[in-house]
Amino acid sequence: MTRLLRTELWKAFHNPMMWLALAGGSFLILASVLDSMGYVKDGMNASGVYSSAYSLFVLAMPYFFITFSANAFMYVWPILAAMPYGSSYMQERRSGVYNQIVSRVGRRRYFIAKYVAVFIAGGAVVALTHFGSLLADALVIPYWKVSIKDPMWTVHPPAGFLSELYYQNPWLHAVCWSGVMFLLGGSTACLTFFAWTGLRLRALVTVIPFAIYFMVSTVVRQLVSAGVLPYTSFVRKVSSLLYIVNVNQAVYPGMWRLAVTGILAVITFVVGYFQVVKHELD
Amino acid sequence: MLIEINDVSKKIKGALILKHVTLQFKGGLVYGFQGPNGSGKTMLLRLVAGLILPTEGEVLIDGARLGRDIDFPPSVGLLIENPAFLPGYTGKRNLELLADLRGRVGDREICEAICDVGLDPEDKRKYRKYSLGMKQRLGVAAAIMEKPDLLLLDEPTNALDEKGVEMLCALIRRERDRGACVLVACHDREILDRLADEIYTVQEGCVERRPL
Repeated sequence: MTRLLRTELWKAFHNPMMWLALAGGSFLILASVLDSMGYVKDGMNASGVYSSAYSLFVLAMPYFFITFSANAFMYVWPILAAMPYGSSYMQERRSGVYNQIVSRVGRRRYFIAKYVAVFIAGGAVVALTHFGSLLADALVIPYWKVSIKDPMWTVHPPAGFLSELYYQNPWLHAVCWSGVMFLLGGSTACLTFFAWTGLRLRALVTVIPFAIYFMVSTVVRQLVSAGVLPYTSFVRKVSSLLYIVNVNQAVYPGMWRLAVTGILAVITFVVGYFQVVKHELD
Repeated sequence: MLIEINDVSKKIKGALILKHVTLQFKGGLVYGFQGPNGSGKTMLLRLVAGLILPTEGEVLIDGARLGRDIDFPPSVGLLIENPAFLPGYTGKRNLELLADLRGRVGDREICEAICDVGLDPEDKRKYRKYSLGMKQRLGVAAAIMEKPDLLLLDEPTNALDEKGVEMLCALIRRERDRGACVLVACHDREILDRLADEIYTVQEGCVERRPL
């Protein structure tokens, strides 16, 4: 198993799609820095605004709702997660490499190693983009501690993810949040196991996680508008799946994100198991 | 090695691809399967490889039932349909990745297998740059490099030139002499006549032994 896992991870981190995903993430990081520079410049010229409004932990991409980069990231992250290795199972199946591997190691071990590699590769890209943007933004924005008493542009909700830690040690909070992003990115990348075996285009497999989130959110919103579904707290969460990566998104209080990650991981594992292990060729 | 196929039928999307096939294969012999396209040759090899399960009947490898006791034959090398490798790596790197999965063979055996099929282990070209014949040769190298007890070759002469076919025949004989059970599916009767110890004709899912 260790050998297989090592091989799968090697393949995951040595393929052009990984570099493409990292390049996409870097583009967002650059956009985030440009956004932040603009806000800091505007803010410095204004008067009567509290200093913590210009803190890194308010304006940076993971925290802010308004900037282009933050909005782009909220829509692109499922694609970034799936890009590095999400389509590898379909590719190997289609090309016949799958036969070479499973005849040597068995279907179960192949699936587990593939699942872990897809998870780690997807999670790594999303977490790196997130934490990289924070580090890059730190070059242009002062990283003052945010005070809970300050009237900030955006307020970290008291029920948000580890909010106490956010006010006490924002850097540690950012590291913890990157861990959550890794888990979210990983379990989202594994949604590619939903792809049916007849799908031929790699690009289509890569957009499956985004399409699932977008479709679920849109359908739920339409059902709410039509009065079919009540606008409960749970319905709000389901209709805002793409925004789950924003740390200030009040829709997902406390540990809800970890719960979503766990549910996703279980669903994708079960679906993937039946796709890869139980599915007979042809 | 003893492979038993007992009253096996395979149905796909309502069509019966193999009909009540009963066969037995032993190590140290080459079995040839000849038949037109779509007759069921590849399906038979896939069944023996454990890549698909029979709709009816059973496939036993040394007494262990495929799909129940074991998922795959414990020592199998296969080239089914087309050679399949990762296009972004060299031929040798592809074989290294495969060999590393089981860890049974090292660099020396990989280089030997590549040389045996007439390729150069030092060739830095990526697999995607290989010609069809080179791809086929690499497919054969992947199948034999771990010296498997069971060797399944589906149309192994595809894209090979005359010299390549000679090389392949010599390799298959060598594997047989080593004690491997070799199953070769090929539509070319002449090649099977030269190679096989037993020849079977596959026609519309039925398999019959043909006199040599």
